[in-house]
Amino acid sequence: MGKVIVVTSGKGGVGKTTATANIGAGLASQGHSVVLIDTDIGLRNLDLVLGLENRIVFDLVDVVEGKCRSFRQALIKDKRFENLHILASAQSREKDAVKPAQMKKLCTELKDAFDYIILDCPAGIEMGFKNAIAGADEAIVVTNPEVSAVRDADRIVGLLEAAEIDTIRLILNRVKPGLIQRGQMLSVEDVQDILSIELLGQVPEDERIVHSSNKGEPAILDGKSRAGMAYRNIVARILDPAVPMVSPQASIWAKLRRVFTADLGAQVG
Amino acid sequence: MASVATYSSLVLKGTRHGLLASIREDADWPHVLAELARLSQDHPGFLTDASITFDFGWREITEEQFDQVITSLHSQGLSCNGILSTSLNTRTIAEERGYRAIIGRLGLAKHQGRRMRQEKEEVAPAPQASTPTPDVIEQPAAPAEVVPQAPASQIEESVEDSFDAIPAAQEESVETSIEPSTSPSQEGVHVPRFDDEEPTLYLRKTLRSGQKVVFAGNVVLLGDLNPGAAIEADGDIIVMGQLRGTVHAGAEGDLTSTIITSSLRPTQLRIADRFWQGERNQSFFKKSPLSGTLKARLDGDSVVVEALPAR
Repeated sequence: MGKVIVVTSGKGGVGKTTATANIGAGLASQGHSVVLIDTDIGLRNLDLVLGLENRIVFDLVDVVEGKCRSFRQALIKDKRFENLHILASAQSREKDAVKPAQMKKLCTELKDAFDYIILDCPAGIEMGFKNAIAGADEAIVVTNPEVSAVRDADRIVGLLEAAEIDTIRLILNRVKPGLIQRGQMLSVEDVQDILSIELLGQVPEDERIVHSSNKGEPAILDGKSRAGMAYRNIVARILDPAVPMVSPQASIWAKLRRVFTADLGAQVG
Repeated sequence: MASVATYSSLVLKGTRHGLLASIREDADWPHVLAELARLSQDHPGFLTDASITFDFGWREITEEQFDQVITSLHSQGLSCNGILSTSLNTRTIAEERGYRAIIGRLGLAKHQGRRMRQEKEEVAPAPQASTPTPDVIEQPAAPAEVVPQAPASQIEESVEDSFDAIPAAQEESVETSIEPSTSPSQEGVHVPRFDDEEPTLYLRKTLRSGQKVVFAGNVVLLGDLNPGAAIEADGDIIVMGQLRGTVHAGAEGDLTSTIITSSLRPTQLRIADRFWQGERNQSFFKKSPLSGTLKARLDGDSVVVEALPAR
């Protein structure tokens, strides 16, 4: 029986799709069978970040509308990872093309076949959000250390709680340790003080992630990427909550890099 | 003192600034009118040409009802000085007719009611009504000392500031010509509504951005009130957690409402129609500058925050 995890944020542009791609790639590289579903109907992105756009035949709307025989026909297998599949979103449709009940049914079916079903949620709190959370067992809230992103994340957490999704964990993305040290950016403590949900990990701001997204290569495959390293740590913590937290402080990054390239690096890629 | 009349639907109170009539919010309207109609008859001499300020409290007064009051007063040679009401409609009706109206309620009838109950429980009060009017039942009238105590006086002072014609109900005011008198005349049948019986909503959760609790009573929150979340209560608000959102106590205009919290860095804090803004975005970065249990209340026109003394 698999687990359905929705990756959501409220605010756009905080790194939901990147997080989804990297967590999915990380889990798959650890030997788990994974499906990533892009639920952002009309604004298809996840396939781009994974470099799979040219292989889309059927999409999410085709699956729920029964235009293909089963969901298996619509799944795109990522050649880099044996166990990673994606279900792309429809680009030329709108959010109301799918109903929450349909998403729930699809998630239930996928749970029998895969270990992890990770849903990339659209920004906002409207229909697309309701669809994405309908079948979810757990949620990962991605936010940035900015007041607007944190405010939206808080709203999202409230809606997730209202939808009775009890396991809600936080990824703090685009952290700039230098700015925090100067008191110009919210620290993880400031963010957690407001959100008071379990922290899954912090991801430092990393220029390399721009390049890896554009190339369609998840950053988690990039041994030199600090963000990739943070995602490896996050994946390790999804699999085992006892894995210690890494805080992105410039001084200890070098040390952590050694720890992680020795520990996880061999298994990734 | 020519006579002491007793009313079950209203409380008459003489003050330095004139006469105040608090109309019980739960009394039948015909009953109110009937008792209003015999004011001058009950107080011959004292009430000649008097101008009365009415405290309607939460009661919604229709245009017809307001006109009935004015007609009744005029037919007795009395006049209306202005009204206190928490209802916008009621205040509008009064203002349209050229009477001054301010937001708020003193709740004297309720205070009197509570005091009456306490007196009864302790000792039988000294009989004071020498010649009760025929419809007064055996229940003795409240002693003259029975006036609102400290909690009421703060608010009355602030009301006085904003509308000097509204009488200040202070201890010495009892010595003015009109004997304050009241009695729940249907004791045993009619159960008056007391302050401490206002409904209270108890919440044990974190209120997050976008969540709003509106309640016609007091609200107790055991958890955080996050930025972007709001509580709106007709009565008091107690937040046992981080208060970072918006709170509005006395949303229906009760100026005596207070906000009590252990940590204060709100976006906005409102009592009745007055408000206090937190510092911009400070809630995210700074710890509360004030510590301990804090109470926000109205002092005149402004919301003041003070530490509650440890006991």
